[in-house]
Amino acid sequence: MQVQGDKYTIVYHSETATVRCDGMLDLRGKDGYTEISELFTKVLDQIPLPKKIILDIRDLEFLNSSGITTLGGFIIRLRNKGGIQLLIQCANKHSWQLRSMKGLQKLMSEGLELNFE
Amino acid sequence: MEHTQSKEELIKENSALKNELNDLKLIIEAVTGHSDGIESELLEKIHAGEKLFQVMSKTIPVPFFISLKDSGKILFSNKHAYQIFGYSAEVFLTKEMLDLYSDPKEFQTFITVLSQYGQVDNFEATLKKSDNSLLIVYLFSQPIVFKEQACLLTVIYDLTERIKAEEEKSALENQLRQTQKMEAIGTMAGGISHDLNNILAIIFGNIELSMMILPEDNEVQKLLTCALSAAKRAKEMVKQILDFCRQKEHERIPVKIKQVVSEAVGMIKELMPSTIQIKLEIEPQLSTIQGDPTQIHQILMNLCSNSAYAMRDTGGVIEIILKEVHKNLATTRIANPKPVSYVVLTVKDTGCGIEKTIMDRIFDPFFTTKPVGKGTGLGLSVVYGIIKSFGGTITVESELGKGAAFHCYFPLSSKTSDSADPTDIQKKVNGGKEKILLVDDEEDVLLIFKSMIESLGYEVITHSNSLQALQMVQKSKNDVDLVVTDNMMPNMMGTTLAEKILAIRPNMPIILCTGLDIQINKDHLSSIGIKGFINKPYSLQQLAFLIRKLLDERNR
Repeated sequence: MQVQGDKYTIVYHSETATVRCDGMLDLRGKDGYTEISELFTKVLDQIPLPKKIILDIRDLEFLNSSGITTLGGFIIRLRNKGGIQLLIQCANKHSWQLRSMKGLQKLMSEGLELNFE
Repeated sequence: MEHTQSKEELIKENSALKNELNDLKLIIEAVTGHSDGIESELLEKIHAGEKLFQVMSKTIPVPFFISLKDSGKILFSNKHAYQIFGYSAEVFLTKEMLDLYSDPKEFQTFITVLSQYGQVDNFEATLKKSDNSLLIVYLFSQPIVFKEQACLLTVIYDLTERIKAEEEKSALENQLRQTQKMEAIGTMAGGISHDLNNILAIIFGNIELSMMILPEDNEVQKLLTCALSAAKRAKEMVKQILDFCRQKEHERIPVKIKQVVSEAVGMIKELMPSTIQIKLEIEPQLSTIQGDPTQIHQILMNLCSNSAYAMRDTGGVIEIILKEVHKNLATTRIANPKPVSYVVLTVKDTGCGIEKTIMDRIFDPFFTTKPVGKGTGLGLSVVYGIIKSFGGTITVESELGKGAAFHCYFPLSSKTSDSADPTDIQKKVNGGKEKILLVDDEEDVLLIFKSMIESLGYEVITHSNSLQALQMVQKSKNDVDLVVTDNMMPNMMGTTLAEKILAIRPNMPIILCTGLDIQINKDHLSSIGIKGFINKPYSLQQLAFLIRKLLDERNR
């Protein structure tokens, strides 16, 4: 599964259950993120669902507020599915990730791990 | 019961809504935190960018300004930009791009190029400074957003220094080409003059001998006189070529140029038609120059003659100005940068002027604008040659229809003038009975000189080979009373032959003659012991006088 734009790529690797986000995500509003949101839905609708899903944003240089909202929605739906671990792999070089991912971590107080490198 | 179920459902729904509300709060918190972070990062970047911009605009030694893309109004300028135009920062920021152009059409072309290509590179423009003087530049413009407005960033590359350097380079190249051309022509003309002088010597000799042989009332005398006159004109022309080549030795003495010019102008006034007025302006205190009065006469004669020709139909004024200047002539045409103090002789007329297209050629030998038969094209080249031989230089200013001015720069002399005017006084010719050895590699010349000298009563032995002539002197010892030798000869030069003869007979009177006196230094000749020197072609009278003079000196 993959969504690709001029400045970004979102790919889901089913064998490792990893959603990888690269580039710059500055799409406009909820509508701008529809395709990406649909990719997240497909990930969560898999049967059987993996026990652990990885969200790799190490090469995501920029994410705007609509993108944060979309990620928040994905985390809530994943949390509500119950029994699935989420690991978000971040990069220290993108300072916004430290601040914003800690904010999103509050949506899933158990089972969400942040890893910075 | 129904009421109890509804209550449980409501509690459940309420709990779900609370969770949802909580999630929304968390998302809003995350989004707000994220936005705040991004904003502060952006602000940091903006501030850093502004700071960088300020530092760069102050540091980069290149003029640039930012103007609104639509109206051209200048919004920002670094100091190099407003200074190059001669404005203060405040005034410059009231200007529009169009105000900077000397020609509005050029600005329109700039706009066209910009709209066509989106940017402008290497656009050559003539801009206008605050004092309306011109500034030739290359412009580089890129569209940018400045203070949220569509703008143009324009960088200026000032071409003034580059153009100046190119002009200086071009002037130096022209100067070098001119010098090389003159040297090449000089060498060629010098060689031709040498041969012509030998030929003229034969012509002169034969005519003079024929005139001596024939009775004075013979009809042929008139024809010979006419031929002699033509030969003299040819001799004068060769002399002029040699003057141009600077190969003719002229005595350089300290000259009070004021006196020489006054005297020459007096003579020129007599020769000028009444329609031409001559004005003379001489600075009272003038230094002495190192030169030759006769040649200064010639310079004035040639320049005034050209001026008179330029005013032949209209009449006019020739101004002759003599003054002292302190000038560096390094960048002027045909320049000779040393020394910096000159006496400058200006000959200025109100004639037809000189066309720009021929300005580079006016000093070339044989270049003339006069019709065939009216001029040899040697006048200005002779002037050029003489002035260069004085160590000076000549410049010209002229515009078609507005006359011409020639400025002759003479370096000052460190010595004072004794107003010497060495003139050879022709005395009555006396012959003799002595034995004379005549050496010349040209058989024809030898033959005619033999006849000329024999006609004076002398006994003449001839040799066309200088080595054989030396052998003869070595063997005969006291047999020869005087030696007349050519200088330029194969096997052995005349000066070397003279040295070897003088080694055997130290008191031998020797006359050295040549058609090309390029390397003759009279001091050097005296140091060798050569007592007489004569240039070809010479008259029988000149040769007879010199032979008798040296023989009489020996006998004293």
